[in-house]
Amino acid sequence: MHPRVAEEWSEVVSVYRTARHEDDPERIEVDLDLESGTYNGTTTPIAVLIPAGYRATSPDGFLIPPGLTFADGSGLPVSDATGVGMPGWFLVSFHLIDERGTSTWRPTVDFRRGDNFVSYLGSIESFLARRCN
Amino acid sequence: MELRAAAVDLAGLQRGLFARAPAEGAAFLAVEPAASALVLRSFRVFTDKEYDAASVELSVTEGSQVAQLAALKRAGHALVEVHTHPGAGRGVRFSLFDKEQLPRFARYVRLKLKGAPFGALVMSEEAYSGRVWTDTGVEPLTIHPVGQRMAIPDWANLPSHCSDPRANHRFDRQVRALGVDGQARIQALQVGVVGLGGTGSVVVQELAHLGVRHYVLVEDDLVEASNVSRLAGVTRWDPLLRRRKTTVARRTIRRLLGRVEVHTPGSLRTRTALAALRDVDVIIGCVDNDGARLVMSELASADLVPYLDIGVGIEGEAPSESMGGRVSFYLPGGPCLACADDLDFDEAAEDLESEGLRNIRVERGYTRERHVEPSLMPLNGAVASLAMMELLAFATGVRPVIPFSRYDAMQGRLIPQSVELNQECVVCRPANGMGDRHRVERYALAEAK
Repeated sequence: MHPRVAEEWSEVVSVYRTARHEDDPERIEVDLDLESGTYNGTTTPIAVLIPAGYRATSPDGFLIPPGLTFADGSGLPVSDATGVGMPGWFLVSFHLIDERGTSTWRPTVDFRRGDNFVSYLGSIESFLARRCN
Repeated sequence: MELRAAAVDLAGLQRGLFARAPAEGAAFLAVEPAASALVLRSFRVFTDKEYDAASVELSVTEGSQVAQLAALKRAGHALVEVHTHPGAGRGVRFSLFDKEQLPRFARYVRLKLKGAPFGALVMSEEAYSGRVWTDTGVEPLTIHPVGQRMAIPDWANLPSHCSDPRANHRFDRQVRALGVDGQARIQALQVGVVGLGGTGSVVVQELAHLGVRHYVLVEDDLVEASNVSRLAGVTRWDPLLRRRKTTVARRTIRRLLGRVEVHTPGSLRTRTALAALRDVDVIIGCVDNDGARLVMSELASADLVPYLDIGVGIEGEAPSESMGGRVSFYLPGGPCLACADDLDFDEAAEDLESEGLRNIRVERGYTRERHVEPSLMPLNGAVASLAMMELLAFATGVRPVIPFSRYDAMQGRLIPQSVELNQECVVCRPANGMGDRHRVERYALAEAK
């Protein structure tokens, strides 16, 4: 496991009980609850790739399996994830950046005091709750 | 086995241990295996209250030992026990009591710390003696101090390895400047050069002129026609013959020095190159991207390898508004490039992302535009030479290293920078002295089978 993720792992599992660590490519998968009426389901697995430079560099985007759509049947803003080693999944365009395109990711030595995997997963939940806006 | 430790930590250890002199002192070093060596992560000198007053020999109370071992176990570190024999001079040795007790203590500690190596050191003010217990038996433990040469305590100072009189003749003018010992230290250096472009090719040429005999050259690019104007040692035929930059660099070295050791493990992001860099005496980064700088910064911090980084920049439309460069020298125990704010993490993230992710970002318009950067050989040469002066200071101790400086080529000024170690640095603090457990090989890309 990536050494910085290993530091955070017990915290990740305590907040996201379904969290799984997977290899090739190294990633964390969790099941997230979805707002009823917003999507075509009430729960979905997602995957977040762990960048080699984590925690200095932030995760970028997240992956969803096929079949997840908005309640009206329209698709999420996704790209085929085969190129990132996740065939059958789709990469959702989601970036922690400000209006100038600069990263808002603020990590610290003690992961509890800055951005970390739990905060990233929390941002994804908010993003999904905002209908990917 | 070698214990690599930052000079500043060794100096701090010495101060703490000999504060009790002429009474003996003791400390526990938290160490990590790093390839074939151990690296020092942190240390703790026992306080007066933690020694067993009833014991004739120096003895730390059982409670303190148990507490410290528990802390090491929680953190997953290995242990090197250190104690002093003040006044024992250069002939300091383990006492008969030590020789009787240490094997038993080694068995106990290795059982507690899941089979990790256990080391023991005995120090006087002038010298030390050490041994280490591993799965394969007991062997001598030597200290490899890294950092500012004048910060290395006398007892830990390594003698230079060689002083070849023939080399002295060839390098006569350098010996006159740096001394026989200084020249011998340069020749014994194992240097990793990452990037063999505008600055790296000049660095290699100067290293060869200085007499460095052990190289790890990390680069996998071919020479292109546009390189001819700025690559030291290149010929106009090299791009036509599709020669590698490593081939040109090796040719430069061997023309000056004959058959010396030149290892070319390929791209930085291979397991072979990353492993090779963990074993050098100094890494010289001559790259043009912060992704590679982040990798080298982490590797250097984890394995306590000094890392000298060179950056040059020319900005604005021609005629350019600014041109200059910087030299940044991470010395273990001191600030790193990220502490100095010389690393752009956003740029590093883009440099390090997979090709697949990059393609998606390009498709979606989220990738920052990168232009072909202007380049001038005199600027590259000037900044590379400034870096080589710091290498000389590091290797020979002719003066203290000035770790961070900037060169303003428009104003013709060299400006030393004052940079403090950032205890909140997300690059060097978590990695510092973590050795194998930092898993720097995660930066290797999948290699073709």
